[in-house]
Amino acid sequence: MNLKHLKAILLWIIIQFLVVPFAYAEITLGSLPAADANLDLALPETPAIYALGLTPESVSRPASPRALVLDLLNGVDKSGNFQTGIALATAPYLLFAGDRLTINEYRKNEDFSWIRLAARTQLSVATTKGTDSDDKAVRAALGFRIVPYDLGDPRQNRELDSCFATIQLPQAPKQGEDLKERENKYNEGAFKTQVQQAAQVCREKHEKLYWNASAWELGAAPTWIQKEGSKDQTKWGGATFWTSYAYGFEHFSTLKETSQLVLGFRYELNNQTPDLKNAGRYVQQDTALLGAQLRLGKPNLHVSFEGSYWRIAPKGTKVQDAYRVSLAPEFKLPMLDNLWFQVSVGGTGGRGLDDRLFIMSAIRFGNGNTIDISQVADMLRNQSVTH
Amino acid sequence: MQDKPAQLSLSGPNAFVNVTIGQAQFGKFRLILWDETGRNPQVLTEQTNVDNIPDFVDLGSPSDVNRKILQWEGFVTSYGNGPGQNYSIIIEVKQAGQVVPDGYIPDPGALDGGAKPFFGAVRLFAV
Repeated sequence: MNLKHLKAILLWIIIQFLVVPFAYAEITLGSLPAADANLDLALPETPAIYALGLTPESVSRPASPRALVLDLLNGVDKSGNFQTGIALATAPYLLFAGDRLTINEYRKNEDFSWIRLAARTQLSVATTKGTDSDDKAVRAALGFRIVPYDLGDPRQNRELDSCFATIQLPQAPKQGEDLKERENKYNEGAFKTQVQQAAQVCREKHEKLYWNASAWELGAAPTWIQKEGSKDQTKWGGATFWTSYAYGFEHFSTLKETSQLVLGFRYELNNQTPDLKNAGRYVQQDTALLGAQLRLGKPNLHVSFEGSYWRIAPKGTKVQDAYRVSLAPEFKLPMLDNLWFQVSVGGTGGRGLDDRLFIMSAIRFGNGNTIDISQVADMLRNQSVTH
Repeated sequence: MQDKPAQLSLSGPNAFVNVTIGQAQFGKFRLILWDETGRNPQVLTEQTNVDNIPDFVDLGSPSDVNRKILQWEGFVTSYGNGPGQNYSIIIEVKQAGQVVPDGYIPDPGALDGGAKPFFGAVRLFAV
């Protein structure tokens, strides 16, 4: 293990320790009882985590998935309870049949392709454990997400082809050169660095154009719960179904580079949630959510306005109509290549004792993904290459 | 270089090499034929997997390429940003549309850093 990996692990450990004090801090704001201040490091856009309620946004942002991602989680759920856990997300088609999937096959049939649909289908498993006295349950979810439509899919962008094609291979071998020399020259490492940097420049150009592109996703996630955390008490924890549509204003020249509107609907069926009036107990409820999120800005700096309406139907008691609004500036930290900071300020209403103002802060790696050791290591490695 | 040579049929038709860049990623590559001592390189092609050039090359008759070394080099890069991307490069030496014995050479893995150079070689042996 080299020095860069040690630095990466150290940074990751420090960040993990910072989570707890921030997550438990409470401040009083206005006439409402309390607000949570959370440093929420783990905000994966994996379907299973979205179903478990560990994402800060009520509305899921559609995007094409990656082949295999492992996320470590530390965060606060929508009830304000601290959760830790792990999630594994994969695009099964890419994982099991991707070795023979060429880019030309992926792009066949512009309008609709079963192969593209399969490659954009994500399966994820996640498990979380509550650490508060109000909620010590272990939860697990199995999430499916399909993205039938994504104008921001980088694999379909032919401008990226042209940009990648300009990256030069090392000079062709000359007469007199032998194969062994050729191999040594190729493995020196300088070419690898050059290719990685040049390819990254191409991808960043693409992101500037398509960060807010239109896309549509559908998702479903069954969940299971162990209320006391022992194996013999595993029970069905309900299921979550959702759909989100992001509109990138592609037909409006003044908005297409600066704005995105995301509309989302989510239905949680037979969800088990902590009973606020009886610590350690759970109530079963159905929840319907209709939300909208408007993102304004540039790729590296944008503000999200989110509003959502919740219809909560606990078993045996009256239906509640609630709402949640938030404002969340999000920006890329200037000295670090791929680290994002987000502060979300908002409030919930219509839920009586559970009404609250909240301030949530988040550190994100990449495009809405969580931080893990390999990513921090990559970030530091890229830093050392750049500087 | 791969330990075992790709075995061509001396009496068979021309040999072909097929390059598959999988995982729907971008690849640019060069194919080179070296003599049996690993000298006198002859560049067969330099291309990408998104141009209009087919990703297979006619190597010639088995007797012409017997004992020569086929070498490939290039890079593969992901379209998307961030970790969780894989790559796959498959080299197939074929005769009459069939992969010859030891002519299937896969190179799959995780695409750390978003891009990766690749390099490999195999001796061609006609029997």
